[in-house]
Amino acid sequence: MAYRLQAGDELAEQRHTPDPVELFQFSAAIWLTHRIHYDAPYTTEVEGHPGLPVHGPLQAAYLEQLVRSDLESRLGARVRLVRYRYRHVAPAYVGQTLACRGRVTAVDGDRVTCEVWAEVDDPQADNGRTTVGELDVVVS
Amino acid sequence: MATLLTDATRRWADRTYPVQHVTVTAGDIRRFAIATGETDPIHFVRDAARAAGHRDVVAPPMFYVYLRVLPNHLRPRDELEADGSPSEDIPPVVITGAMAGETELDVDGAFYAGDEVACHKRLADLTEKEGRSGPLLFLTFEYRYDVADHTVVRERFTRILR
Repeated sequence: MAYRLQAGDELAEQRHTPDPVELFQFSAAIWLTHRIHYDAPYTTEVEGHPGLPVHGPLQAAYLEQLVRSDLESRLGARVRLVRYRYRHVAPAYVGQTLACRGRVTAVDGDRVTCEVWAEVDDPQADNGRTTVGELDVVVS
Repeated sequence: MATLLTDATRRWADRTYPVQHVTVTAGDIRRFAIATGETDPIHFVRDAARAAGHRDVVAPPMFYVYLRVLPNHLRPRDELEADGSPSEDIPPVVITGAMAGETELDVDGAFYAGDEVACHKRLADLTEKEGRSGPLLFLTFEYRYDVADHTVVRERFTRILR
């Protein structure tokens, strides 16, 4: 590959602190009616969560963007997702800051593999990974 | 050993669900793009998308989640549970909790404004494993999102019931 990109390269971190409005926007955009993402009294009193959980797929979207925006600005070319495997390992709650991080793990021609993870990075919370994934993009 | 995998449950293996059809609009893509913090005009403006080589306003890759959620959740209130989720169309099993497992996607192309998407769903695998505090049932669903007989996204999604 002509680009200066190699396994081990760290992606530029992106941070998100989704608030209740952003959770509502995501629920509305996908027409997700599940109460735990917008009804705080129900979620804490009935379901026993400490707050509104941040949607797993929203975190997965943040992580896909992390790769796309980093590689597109680094390479000056469009990249497109071809494979993505992700897993939610712990909940993240509204108001917590999520640090989205990743690194390049393989470069094969125009295909780039990255590992990515979101972790709570917040002095007021239990820190740790909430969503982890691996994805392949193709540079065009 | 206690089991969650009864004969009635086993009969659900390889179940195919009715195909759902969703027509994607530029407004659907705009809402999803705003909700996920996208700023590239290719998700909002047709001319910008065309200038970048797309045939119309193009959705970000994770837009497929909308195609999974909408057909299940777009129902009158009395067809939703107290917690707002649709009544479960999963095998009959007494469960105390559910966990999302892993999602695997293969993507070939993108969704565009105007696309008519056929959303296919199949219960591909049903496996029981012994967990630390009892049996765990792994349900693997396969989803396929096709536009004009081309599969744009194929998804394998595992739910874990205990």
